[in-house]
Amino acid sequence: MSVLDIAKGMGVTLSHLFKKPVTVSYPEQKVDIKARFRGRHHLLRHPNGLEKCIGCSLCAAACPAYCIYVEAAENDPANPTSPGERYAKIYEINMLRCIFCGFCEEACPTGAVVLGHEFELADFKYKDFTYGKDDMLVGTVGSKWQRREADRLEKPVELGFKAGQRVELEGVDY
Amino acid sequence: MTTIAEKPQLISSRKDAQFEVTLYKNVGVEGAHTLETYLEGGGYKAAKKALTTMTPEAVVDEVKRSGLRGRGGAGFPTGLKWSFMPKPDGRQRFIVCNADESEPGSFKDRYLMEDDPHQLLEGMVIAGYAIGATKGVLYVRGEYYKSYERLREALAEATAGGYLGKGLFGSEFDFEIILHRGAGAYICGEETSLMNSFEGLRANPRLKPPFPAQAGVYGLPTTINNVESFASAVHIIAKGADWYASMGTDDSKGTKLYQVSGPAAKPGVYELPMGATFRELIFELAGGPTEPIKALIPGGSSTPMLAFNDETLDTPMDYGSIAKKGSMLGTGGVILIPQEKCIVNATWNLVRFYAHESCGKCTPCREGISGWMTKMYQKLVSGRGEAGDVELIEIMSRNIKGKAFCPLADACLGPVQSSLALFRDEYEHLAEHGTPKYTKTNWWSA
Amino acid sequence: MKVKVNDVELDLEPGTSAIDAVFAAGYDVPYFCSQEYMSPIGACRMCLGKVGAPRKDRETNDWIRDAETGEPQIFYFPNLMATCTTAIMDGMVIDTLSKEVRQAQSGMMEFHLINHPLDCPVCDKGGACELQDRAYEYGAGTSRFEFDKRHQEKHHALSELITLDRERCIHCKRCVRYFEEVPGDEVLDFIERGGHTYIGTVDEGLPSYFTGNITDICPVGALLDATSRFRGRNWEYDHTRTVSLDDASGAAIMVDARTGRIERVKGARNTQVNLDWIDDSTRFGHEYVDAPDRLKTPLIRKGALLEPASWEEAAQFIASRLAVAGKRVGVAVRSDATLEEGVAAKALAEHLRGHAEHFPRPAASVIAENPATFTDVATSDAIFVVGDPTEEVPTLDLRIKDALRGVAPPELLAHGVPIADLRLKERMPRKRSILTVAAPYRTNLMRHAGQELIYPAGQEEDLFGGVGSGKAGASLAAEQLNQLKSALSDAKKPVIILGAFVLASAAATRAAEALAESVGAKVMKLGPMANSYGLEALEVTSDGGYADLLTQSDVLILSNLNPAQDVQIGERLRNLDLLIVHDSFETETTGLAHVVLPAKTGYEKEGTVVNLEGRFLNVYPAPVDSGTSEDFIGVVRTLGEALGVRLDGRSVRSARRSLAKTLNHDLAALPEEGLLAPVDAKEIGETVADTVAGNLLLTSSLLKVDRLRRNPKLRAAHGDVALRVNPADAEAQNLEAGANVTVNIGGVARSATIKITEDAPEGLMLLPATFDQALGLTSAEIVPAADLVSA
Repeated sequence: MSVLDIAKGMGVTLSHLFKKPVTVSYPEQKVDIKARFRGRHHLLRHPNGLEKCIGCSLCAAACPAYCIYVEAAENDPANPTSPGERYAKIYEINMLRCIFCGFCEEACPTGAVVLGHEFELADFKYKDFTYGKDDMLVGTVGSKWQRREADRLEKPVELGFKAGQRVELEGVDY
Repeated sequence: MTTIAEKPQLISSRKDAQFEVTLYKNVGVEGAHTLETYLEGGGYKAAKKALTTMTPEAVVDEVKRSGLRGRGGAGFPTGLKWSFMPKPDGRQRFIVCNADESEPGSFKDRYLMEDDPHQLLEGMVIAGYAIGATKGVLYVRGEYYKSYERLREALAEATAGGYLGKGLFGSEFDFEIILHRGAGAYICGEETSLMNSFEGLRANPRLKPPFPAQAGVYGLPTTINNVESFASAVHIIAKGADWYASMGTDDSKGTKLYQVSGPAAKPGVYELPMGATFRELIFELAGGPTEPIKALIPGGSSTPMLAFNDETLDTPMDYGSIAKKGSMLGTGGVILIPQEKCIVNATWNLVRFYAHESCGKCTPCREGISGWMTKMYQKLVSGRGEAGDVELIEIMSRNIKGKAFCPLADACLGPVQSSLALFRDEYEHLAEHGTPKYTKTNWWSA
Repeated sequence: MKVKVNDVELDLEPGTSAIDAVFAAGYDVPYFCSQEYMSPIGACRMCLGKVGAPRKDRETNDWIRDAETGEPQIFYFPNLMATCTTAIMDGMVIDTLSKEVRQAQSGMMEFHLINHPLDCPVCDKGGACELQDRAYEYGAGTSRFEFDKRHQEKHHALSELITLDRERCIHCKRCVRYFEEVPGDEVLDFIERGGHTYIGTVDEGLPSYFTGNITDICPVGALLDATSRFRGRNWEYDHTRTVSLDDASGAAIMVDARTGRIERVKGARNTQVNLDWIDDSTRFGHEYVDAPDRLKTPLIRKGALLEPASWEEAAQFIASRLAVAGKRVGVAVRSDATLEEGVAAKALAEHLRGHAEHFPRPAASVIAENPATFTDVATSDAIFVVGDPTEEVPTLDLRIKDALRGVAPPELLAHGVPIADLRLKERMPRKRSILTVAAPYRTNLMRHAGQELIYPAGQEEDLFGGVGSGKAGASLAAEQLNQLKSALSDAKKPVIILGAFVLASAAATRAAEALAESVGAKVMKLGPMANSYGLEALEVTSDGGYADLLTQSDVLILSNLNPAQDVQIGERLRNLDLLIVHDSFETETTGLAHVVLPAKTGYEKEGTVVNLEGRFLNVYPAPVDSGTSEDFIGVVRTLGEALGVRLDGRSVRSARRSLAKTLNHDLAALPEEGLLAPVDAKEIGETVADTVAGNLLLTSSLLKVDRLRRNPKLRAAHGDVALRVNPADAEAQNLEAGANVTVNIGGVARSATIKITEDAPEGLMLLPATFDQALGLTSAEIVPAADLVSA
């Protein structure tokens, strides 16, 4: 090992002194995540406001962790929830069980359930990990805990990440 | 052993002196539909002869020997069909006349019924006697209202005159005819659908076997024949089987009614001995085409069309010769298709007919003919055709051919497949350019 | 007959269809229009195969042989054949694997799919759909059809119970044929033709008791059960194959439950009993199980109120009260209790030195001396029915109609029931003359009978006497009765069917048995409930019967019974030392009880029942959330623990050990068809003077009036409890059709809606009985329904 080699090595070390660090001081700073990151699910709507979900349970059938429960019902023709005859009356995902594999998204025939970017799902009670339709329908931002916190502080939900837009996440705005 | 020399000389042209118009001799004669005129011309003599001097078996044998084949299109030997009836077992038997002539290009039975209804009734009496049926059913096409009226009058006359009813001609044979007018469905020309329709059921074809001879109308033994077959039987009994068999060709005997429609000088119905050529019919009787012709349909719309050339024109019009050319004699309804007519459009006209008339029972006909095939033709003729459409029609016809429940689907494929085989260039031209190769549409203007 | 399917050679009976030869050989062809118990029609054209057979030389009567090999030459049909409508011939060769056949099948699949909507995610049939499966197996996988699909009505309520989606229909005609061929009620047909063809009815609704079966046989999601609409996907249901406890037939059903709720009931196949068919009440009458007022926990009386308690508390309470109560103990279970519950009831009564009884129990024994099976009925050539099987045992109604078709149930093949039975035809002539139906009023089955005899109610004994002696009886002419007797004695396999009105009278039953013996007929007795036969065979009976039990006990333990429906009995029950009621819902009797114990319904029990043939059938529990409900076994177990004894029947296993000794059958895991083992006939009960006068006849009803209020869909389809009145009577009594009235029968007040019909004879009104009312003639008083506002 010559002096030259040592100098080369030190050169690499020194060069990093002048580069921006990769460490992000989350939560003060926002994490930069990839557009295809798989986080908390969103239930999307059609542009006319109707829910895309038709309650077909195919997501539940595809789910390897058995964390989805769907109960369907018939649309009121005068005031429909979704296009067609059927909609999801109950749509629940147990986020503790979910492994965020994205199979539900692949199984969905209408593109209704899409995995978004939210990952800050920590909470205190088991029951709070069961996300219903209200917690996932497009327009709802943040996990249950984040929304409770935001309500308490009377501030908008602050998400700890920024990510690229994904076309599948139609209507989701972080 | 029969040698060619010993074979009797058959006549197969109207020019032969032996030939005389028989079936149609009263057609076009003023007042010929009345019983009076019919009797003057020797009417009901054949029936009397059969009922008083012959046994039923002898009548069947006579018809068998005459070589008469069913004139409704399929050409099944009539005598053989009659002999299929089971032995009398006390059950009611029926003889049914299929007068639901609905095939485009066929209109021979109409004039037989309008101008000579008694000939048909007499034929039914003879057939009824031959098979031991005391009830006849005359199922007339719904649109043939004049035929229906004439037949109704004729039935009243014949019943009043003692030619129908109990103990005919002094024998112990009773016979009555039930006249039934259809409601205008082509499928009722199919024998089992006709029976369903007559019974008041949905006109769907029935499963065969059992054939009508075992279980026909109301599940009872039934024989069903075409109008022309019955009319022919009258003359076979009157003049003898030998006379009848002396006309025609080896596999087709007697005389036959041929019809010409399309651009001919004198379209109409002509009676010719079996085996006369298309040339004789089209050029000599119908006065020749008034337009250049590219194809002819030999026997009603469901038979595959043939190219209009010398080879076709010199083909004898009998069952075997036309079958050899890849088509069928059918009902003998010759349709001429002019050169200037777009063949896709002409075929679309027929496809539309069959699609409308599909009964909906089986999948290939309901979804294929009535659904997809119609949509493909619609697409082509409206100028939205694309590459691959012609192949798709071809594949689709292969998927339907021979797989449907009854012959209606195959009947539609007759013109489709033959026009594709003969005039593929026209199809491809239309698919490629969106406009037909022949664009003439003003057929009715001077 | 020797047949070769692809490479498999088989020997099959003549008359077998080619499709069955294919399946028997272990190969598969797709099919939609064929159904095992209906005629094959060859409409879907899916089961195409290349079929050929050798021919015989007419002169030598030997096979035409191949010149080279010397083997019989196979002549193939020019077209591919629908194998479902082709009968096998000797030496037939069937090919289902060649490229030509595969192409034809995939081409036909394409035709099926072009107009079928892509609804699968929202379709209740998805996942259990024949079209889906077959498209996956035989379809091309892609579509070349680029046009709009056919648009038709998507949500057409054929009736309150059945929804029709016309776009999904593939026109297999199964439903249309079903109505004509099986129940004989032609209420559905194709309308329009060609590509416009659709299924429809002329009138509103489907006036038949057997409509639900079309939802089972529909190969796609066109016809669907409205009670389970969108309730779950097929793979999410827990399927439990069990036996219906709604009537005495023992029909096999499939109970589909999800998250502790019964979502739907489907017919299951029992080749010996119900084939594939069940009636609408059995199918749609399950909603009561999930009714919001279902009892889910025990209740103990504290003063005027019943308060929720645990089973242990309830058992302790009962044990402490038993110590101070009177000594006369009565235990009664309803007649749809299982054999195991019967063992438990007997053991409990024995331990308390009391009597066990089951109710309803007719005056005469329900066990016949020369018992007929359903197959006997279906193959019989002379059937004499006294009663109304359509209402009492609906399965029997269909099996009688099987006999009218004159086609015996098919022999099973290697793959089960033949798929295409070529003996069956569309619109077969029915041999109506073999069926004689006698009843005090015009019954549904009479429409199919060759001879109908309407006799004055209560004169069943005279009727049988008349038939036996050939003299006029029960107001019927001697000629009619003579004719019937000769028909029965001339028949090879006559069957006499005795309904509830006969069994209500021991004398009439005796007369019927005598007639059966004299003409050599087998007898089928229609017991009132699912296990009437079994409980009688097990002798869960007491000398004095149920009536004595109610009047002469100090302590009463009742399971699913409601005697206090009758206010006079209710008054007596009020003074009992201890009244324990085991029921699923609050009733008049639970209102008087000291302890109420929540009961399981027939879908939740495990056990064994014996149907009216004497067939032992296992009942399996569906996973239903019914709180802490228990069957009577559970009651006995908990009470036994509180009393410190180990009683027989404290569990299903212990009950079966006891049953193995008394009945000599091991009842664990019986075959699906059950175990046909009729027990010896019992002495017919004592002759009590029969009621022969009255203005009201309490009849059976397949709609189960006790549950109707909690079965809203069934109620909407069939209407409220109807009091049927003859037009003349209605005019005389000034009763209006549709008016609500109260019918006072002794101490029982029943509300009903007036229905004016010629079915009711003059001078006799017809009212469906509740489980707690004895069937037969009685006197009633009709008063207008109490005004709700003033009440």
